[in-house]
Formats: sequence, C-alpha cells, structure tokens
Amino acid sequence: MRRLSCGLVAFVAVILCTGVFPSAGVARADDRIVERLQPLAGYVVESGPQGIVIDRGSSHGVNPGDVFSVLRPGAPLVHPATGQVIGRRDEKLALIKVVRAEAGYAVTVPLGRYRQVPLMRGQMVKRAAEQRLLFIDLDGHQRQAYSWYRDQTPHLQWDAYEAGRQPAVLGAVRQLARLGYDLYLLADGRQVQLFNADGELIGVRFARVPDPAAAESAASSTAGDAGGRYNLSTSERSRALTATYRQAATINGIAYSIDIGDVTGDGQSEVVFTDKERVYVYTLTPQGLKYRYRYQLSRWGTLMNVQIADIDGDRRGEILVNAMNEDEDGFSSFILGYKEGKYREIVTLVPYVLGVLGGFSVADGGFFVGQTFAEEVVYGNLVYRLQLQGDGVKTAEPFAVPLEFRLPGALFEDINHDGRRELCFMNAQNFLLVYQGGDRLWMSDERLGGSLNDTQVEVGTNKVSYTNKLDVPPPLRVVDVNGDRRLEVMVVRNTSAISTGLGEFGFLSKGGVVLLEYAGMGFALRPMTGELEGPVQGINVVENELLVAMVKRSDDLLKTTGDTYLLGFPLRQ
Amino acid sequence: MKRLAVVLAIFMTVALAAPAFAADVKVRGDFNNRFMVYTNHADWLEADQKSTLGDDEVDESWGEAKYRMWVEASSNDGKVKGYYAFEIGSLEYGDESKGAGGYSGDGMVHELRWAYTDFQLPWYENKARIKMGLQPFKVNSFLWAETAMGVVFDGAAGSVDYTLGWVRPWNDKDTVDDATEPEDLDSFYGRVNFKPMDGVEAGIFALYMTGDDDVPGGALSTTGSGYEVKSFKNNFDMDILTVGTDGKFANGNFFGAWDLMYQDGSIDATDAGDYDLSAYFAHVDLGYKMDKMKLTYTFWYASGDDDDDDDLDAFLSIDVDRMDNVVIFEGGFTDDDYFTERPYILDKGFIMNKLALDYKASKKMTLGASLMYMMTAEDVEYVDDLGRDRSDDSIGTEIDAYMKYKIYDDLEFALNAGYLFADDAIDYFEADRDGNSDEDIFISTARVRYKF
Repeated sequence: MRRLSCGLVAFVAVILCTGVFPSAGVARADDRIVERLQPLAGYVVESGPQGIVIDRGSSHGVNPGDVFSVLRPGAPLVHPATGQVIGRRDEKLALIKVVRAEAGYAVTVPLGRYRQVPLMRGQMVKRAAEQRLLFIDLDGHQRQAYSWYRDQTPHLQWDAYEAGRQPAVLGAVRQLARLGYDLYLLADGRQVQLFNADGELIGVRFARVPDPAAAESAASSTAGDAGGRYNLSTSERSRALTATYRQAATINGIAYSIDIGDVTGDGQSEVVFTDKERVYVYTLTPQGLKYRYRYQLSRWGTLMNVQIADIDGDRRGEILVNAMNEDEDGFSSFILGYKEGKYREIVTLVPYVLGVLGGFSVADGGFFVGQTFAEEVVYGNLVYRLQLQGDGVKTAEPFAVPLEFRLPGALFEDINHDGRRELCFMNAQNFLLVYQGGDRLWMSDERLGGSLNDTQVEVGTNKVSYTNKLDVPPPLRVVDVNGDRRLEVMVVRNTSAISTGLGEFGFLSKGGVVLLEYAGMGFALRPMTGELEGPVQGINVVENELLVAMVKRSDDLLKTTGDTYLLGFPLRQ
Repeated sequence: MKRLAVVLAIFMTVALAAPAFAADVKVRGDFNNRFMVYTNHADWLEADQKSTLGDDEVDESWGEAKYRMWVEASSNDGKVKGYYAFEIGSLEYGDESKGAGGYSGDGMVHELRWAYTDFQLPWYENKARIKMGLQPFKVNSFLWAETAMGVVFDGAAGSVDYTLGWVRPWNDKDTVDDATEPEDLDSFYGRVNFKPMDGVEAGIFALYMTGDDDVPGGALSTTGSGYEVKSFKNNFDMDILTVGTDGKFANGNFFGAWDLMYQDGSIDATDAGDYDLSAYFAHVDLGYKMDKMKLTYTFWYASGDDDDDDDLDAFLSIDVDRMDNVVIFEGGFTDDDYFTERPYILDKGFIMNKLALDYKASKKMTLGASLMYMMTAEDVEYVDDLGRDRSDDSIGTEIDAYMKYKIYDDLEFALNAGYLFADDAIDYFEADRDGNSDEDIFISTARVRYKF
C-alpha cells in the first residue's frame, strides 16, 4: 500500500514538473517552427551539379526549406583531469537547404555563401546543428517568445535577445543575408517567421486572434504565443488578394495583345498593342493614353502578339512583333524600335516567333530567343538564342525547352526559390506548366489562360481538313506580392459562359488574374483580382500597380468588336 | 440517324454536366454549302477522266451540302489524343439517290473520315508520336495525300524530323484457294526533314508499295480513272518504289518550293503481261511577295508513256486531290464533281505552266487570278471517228479567278470561275473526235462555309 502511494505521488509530481500541460500564453511544444529546427542526422549520398542528395527524406520529417549543416568531425575533447574523451565538436563546412523531399531522401543545394565549397559523398549532415540563430523582435513585445523558442531548441547557437533589437539589425530586416547568421527568427504580434542564411522564408507560424478582453492583461506577453498549429487559412485561398481597382485608360477597339514598357528611354511607359492588322504605340500618362505611332502591316500575313523587351542591351525596350504568313507556312516576325527620335522597323521577316525570357533586358540576364514553326501545331520543337546583328538576327545556340513548350507568354524565373530558374508556359490545352530543365515540377489541374487572340492553321489534307485555332496566351508576369522577397506568378484566367471540365464552349466572357505561389505544400493558385466582366488580354506591373487590359465585347458575338479598358489594381510590395 | 442522335446527346450531357476529367474535348466543324453557279459542260465532270464532251453544251447549276465534324479528345498535357471525324455529303439539292436531297430529306449518308489515336511515347523527351488508325496520310501532294489506315511514327532528333509508317490501303480477305497466302497491299514509308541552311526546309522520302494480286488477270487501264494505284486495288502484283525530295525556301520577299520524284518497280499479272515502271516527276514554285500581293510561277513535269511496250514510263500517283485549277483539277468548290484529281492526264504525263497573282484586298477579302498553259508530256494518241490516227499534246490555256470574303470571323463566302480554251488534245475526250478541239469549257462555283 505504501509503495502504491509513493508511486502515485511520484507520478503526479512528474506530471506537474514536466509541463505536459503548457501554461497559458506559451507556444505549444508542437510548434511547426520548432519541428523544422529539430536535430536530424544523416549523410551525403551524392554530390553533383544537379544538387546534393542526403539520406533523409519526408519519412524522416524532412521538409523543403530545412537547413542542414555539412559537418566534419573535429578534434576529440579530452577531459583535463580524467583524460577521458568526452565528445567531439564537429566543424561546419557548409549549409545546405532542402529543395525537394522524397520519402527516403532529399535533394539539397548549398546556401549562397557556401556554393563554392566542395561537398562529397559520405559527409555527415545534421539539421539545425552548429547554426547561429538571431531572434529579431519586431515590436518589442516578443521576449517571452524568444525564451520559449530558445528553450525548445537548445542545440542551436542563440545570440542574446538584445542582439536582435539593435537599430542596425531592425533596419536590415529586408536584407537579412547581410547580417551573417545562419538562421533568423522574426516575431511580431501576428506571426513568427523563420528565415535561412540567404534571407529566404522557411516557415511561418501565425498568432491566434487575441481576445480583446484578455488583450490588456496579456499586453506584455507575446500574442504570437497564441494561434497554435492552425497557421493556414482556406478563406485566404478563396479571397481575392486585391479586389479594388481604378480605370486607368480606355482603348477604342480590341487589343488582342498588349504590353507596357519604356521604349523611348524617357522614363515614361509606352503602351503597345495590336488589333492583328496594326501595331499602336501610346504613352501612358496620368490623364490617359497619348498617341505616338502606328505601324500598318502592309504585307501578306497576320499579326500575332507584341512584347516590349531590350534585345540590344541598351536597357531601352524594342517592340517584338510576331506575325504568321497568310498561307500558314511559317512566321515572318519583325522588330520595331525607337531610333533617332523616330519609330521604325529595324528587323524584318524573321522566320521565328520571338520573345525574351528571364527578364526585360538581355543585359540583365534575359535571353532573346526564337521558336521555330511547325505545320498544323504552329510551335516547333526548337528554340534558339538569337542575337541582333545590324538589320537582322543571327541564330546562335539552341535553348533547351520541353516538348510542348510555346514561347508566347512564357516565363523563365526562379519561382520556387531554389536558386534555379523555372520555365513556365501555357500548353495548347490551356494548362499551366512549370518545368525545371527537363523535369516537370507542376501542371495546373484547371484551365488557365484563354484569349481572344488566336492563330489558325489547317489540319489534315487538302480536301479534308479542319481549322485549328490555337490561343496566343496573355503573358505570365512575376512580382513579389506579399513582400517576402519571393516571386509569385500572375496568370490570366479567362472563361466562357459555358465552362466545363471538358473545356470552354462559346465565347470568352469573363476574366481575371490568379496568383501562382510556392509555399510549404508546393505550388498553389489563389485568386488575385477576382472576376472581371470581360476577358483579360494582358497584364503588366507599372509602379506598384497591376495594370489589366480587359476587353468588353459588343453584343454581336459573330464579330469580335468592343473596347479595351486598362484597369489598375494596387499591389502590396 | 437515331443512333447518331443518341451519341450526340450523350456527348453533350457529358460535356456540360460531368466533373473535370483529365481530358480536353474539342468539337470542330466544316459546314460547307456549295453551288455550281454555272457550267456549260456538266458532262466534263463525270468522274476521273471518264468525261465525254458532247457537241452541244450541257448547261447546269445546282446546290449541294457537305458537312463534316471532328471530335478531338486529348489528355490535358496533350500526350494522348483521339480523333473521330465523319462527313455527310455531298448532298445535292433534289437528289434522292443518296436519300436526303429529295423530299423530306429522311435519308442520311454518313461517311467515316478519320478515326485514329495519336500519342507520345512516354520514355522520349523529344517528339516521338505514334498515330494509328484511319488518319490523314501525307507523303507528297503529287504522290499520296489522303486518308488511309496504318501506323505512323513521327519523331524528332535535334533539328531533324523523321517519319516511319506502315499503311495498308488494301486488305486481302478473299483468297483464290486455301493454299494461297493473303495478298495484302502494304506500303512502307520513311521520311527525313531537315533545314540545311537558314530559310530552306528540305525533305527526303521513300515509299515502297508491295502486294500480290488476288484477282486473276485484269487489265491495267491507262484510260479513264484507271491509271492511279488507288484504282488498281488488288488486281496486280505490284512492287513500286518511289524516292524523292521536296521542300521550300524563303529569302526576304522571295519564296519557292520544289518536288522531285523517281519511281521504279513492276506491275505484273495484268491481262497484257508484266510492266516495268520507270517514271519521274518534277515541280517547282517561284514566288515574290510585294505588299499585299503575291506572284507565283508554278511549273511541273510528270513523265508520260509514249509506246505500248512493257516499259511503263508514266508517273503514277497513288491517291491525291490536286486543286490547281477549276476546269481540269478539283479547284471548283463543288469538289466531288471534277475532271481529274491526278497531276497528269491518262498515262501521258503533264506539263503545267501557271502564273498566279493573289491579293489581300482587306482584312476580310482576298482576290486572285491565274493563267495556265498546259500540255501532256507525251502525245495523246487515238483514232478519230474517221479512222485517222491522231496525236496531240496540247491541253490548252485556262484562265481562273476567285474571290473570298469573310462575312463573319468564321463564315466565308467564296466565288471562283475558270475558262479553258481547249486545245486539240481535248478532242480525245469529245464524243465526236475529229482531231480538233471543238468545245471550250466554263465552270463557276461558289460556297458559303462555316468552319469552327
């Protein structure tokens, strides 16, 4: 009986002392950030240009974004009195971050300052080991959170709380990589964010909405302690990110393809669009559009789309105009430029569809490329890098693209924040694809794109053929919408009145912009602008504003007539 | 009709109400309403080269409809596609022979045109597509460009595209006796397309047809519609190899195209014995684009046979539809009524000289005209009604004109006309053969076509 009583007392004491029941206001032990910082050891299996593979994967609790230290065993620690080896201090060689986690392994890449460090098979890796962490209290009320996270992760090298409150540190929160730490925890009343050494966001934990009655008494405690593990939101996924807008300008007629950029180099944006017969250039002013130039296609052919991009490295845009021959036997694109105070044709009859991928200018990492023509499908298998040479273009080396690639509207940017650029484009069935090299990372499960602009080719023999209408999709754009220093992709989505799982039937009558973002669970789409009352033919970002070219069609659906409205949506940057 | 209605109803139900499958379905149509506006010699349009021109004019006008629909189903990444196409017509107004052109229009003539699957091989990063079934099969527009059944592989390796195919245009189901093996007619096809330099696209191809006859005997007819492989069916032993090159080029405003072919082989077991085939074909287009105009000169030479020995020198098409002018070829919009679909006359070959001007008058309207002088490569030889030997190689001069206008984006009205100043070789096709061509031929057609 005595033994039973002692056992019961001991049991209760253990329960009271171990803190299984967390005290009110303190973050719970199953905090997702804490999970990402738990120790985990493994080895390098393979090291090469495609990445470093380690033998720990999702089945071991590894997630994309996790940071591992690559370690070398240090000298043994010998006790001075006993002479016994009490351990070893590992030496850190590099930091690597997980870009893809499979069940039994993960693919990693080195963080910025460790890219030149040679790494080899067999080296030891440990998550959250030998890593210095800086906690930055953004509102001055997160000392308790600091204490709690430090207690949960004693294996990390924590700097003092005060280090994260220095003015120099608070002023550098947008440039964390310069501070030289391995990990950063930023906390305010709403959320706690974990960043790696390159300043990339790894994880977020949101605070619970505070009870107003308790808010005053808990003023000195961190609101970020509440919220627990429910830090994701479905309503956020279905709500438009920016739903209010203004009407910036009106174009009489349908702009089948439109782009905005500085062509003249005067700092003002030009609006360039085509009605499939002519190319128009206007200057965008606060009062609306001011006419500048019109180019009439005087030869055999049909205009497809326009793009403003700098192809000669002077950081002033040229106007790439893609055109197809009337008898569907190839492209005859051309380039307009603003030279010596005048707009003129600087290159003609290029047998490719032209575009610039990876940026506005070839001087800033952009690639001037051209895609070949193929009968019946329009876009051929081959894309080449091009160089402007005098009044022509010279074909250089091939630019590798996947099989179903279509250049109009395509994008080449790092959108999954792994340091490598991905190729995003709309396929012929209007599904958005994301490729990295030859690997398809993602395909949308819903149709996106859609356009009033199309090319038409005959498919079949002379006598039995149908007309294949292939959309010329509006361009994809990248922007950092939420200020996390990561790019998201803006995608046009146009729909018709009869929209089914098998396709769009009838005429496009609605449109909008959706956002493709990469977060912990991979790629996901969310509404950006909400639904507009007409199809969208182009999108651009100009001075923190998203400009959307929406077409309002006339009632006669057998003729494509109407007006185009430039609508401005504010962006949070 | 009932069955079709049920199929369409099921399709529409699925299309409108089903949840999202991993499939993209497109429906396309070609609703073609055609009119023979006027011809002075409807007797000229009796099937392929079987015409008999009477001394009196045979004035005719008519209307007809030919409607086609395609259903294309594809996976959302385009890796697998299926095609089904059917056709109704042509149904002439008032023609009850096909069951629908007369009173009440209760009859229906349904033809299957395409039924094939097209898919990308999964282990290839480059293009590697296989098509199998009833599909559009294009070897060369002067040799073989029609639907056929077979398996075709299209691949790409860098800047080179290649094609391999097996097509069986004739399947032997009947045997003379149990000991005889099936005598199918098989075609094996290979092609490589490449770009030797900027602005030039070239192709090299070979087509080998082989088959044994199943029907003992049979005449190798070189008259009427006889001289075309399609017409031979399984009547003869055939081993025919055609090799060739084709391509196109463009340099600034200049453009052009070429086709060169050589045929070799044998056609055996005819009533007249065995023939050795040795024939060739050459074609070139040269053109210039100037603003909204395009000027094109076309020349082609199809070799002909000049004697009755067992060497057959006449170029032989397999199944084509040439639409190079209104009177001789299938250029009229009522394209089920024509003189010939082949690029030659009888077994006498052909020489075409054509100058064409096309003009894009506006976004909606295109105009054009052409002038042709045509001959046969070898004399057309025959005996006239008075027993005299006749031979001539001059077909004549034809003038064509056309206009196309888009009423709406997908609805086109078109009108064309052709006048052949017939020369003495046409006397062969007249009812009264006197060595001189007596009849000029005029044809004018129109259409209202909705393609979606």
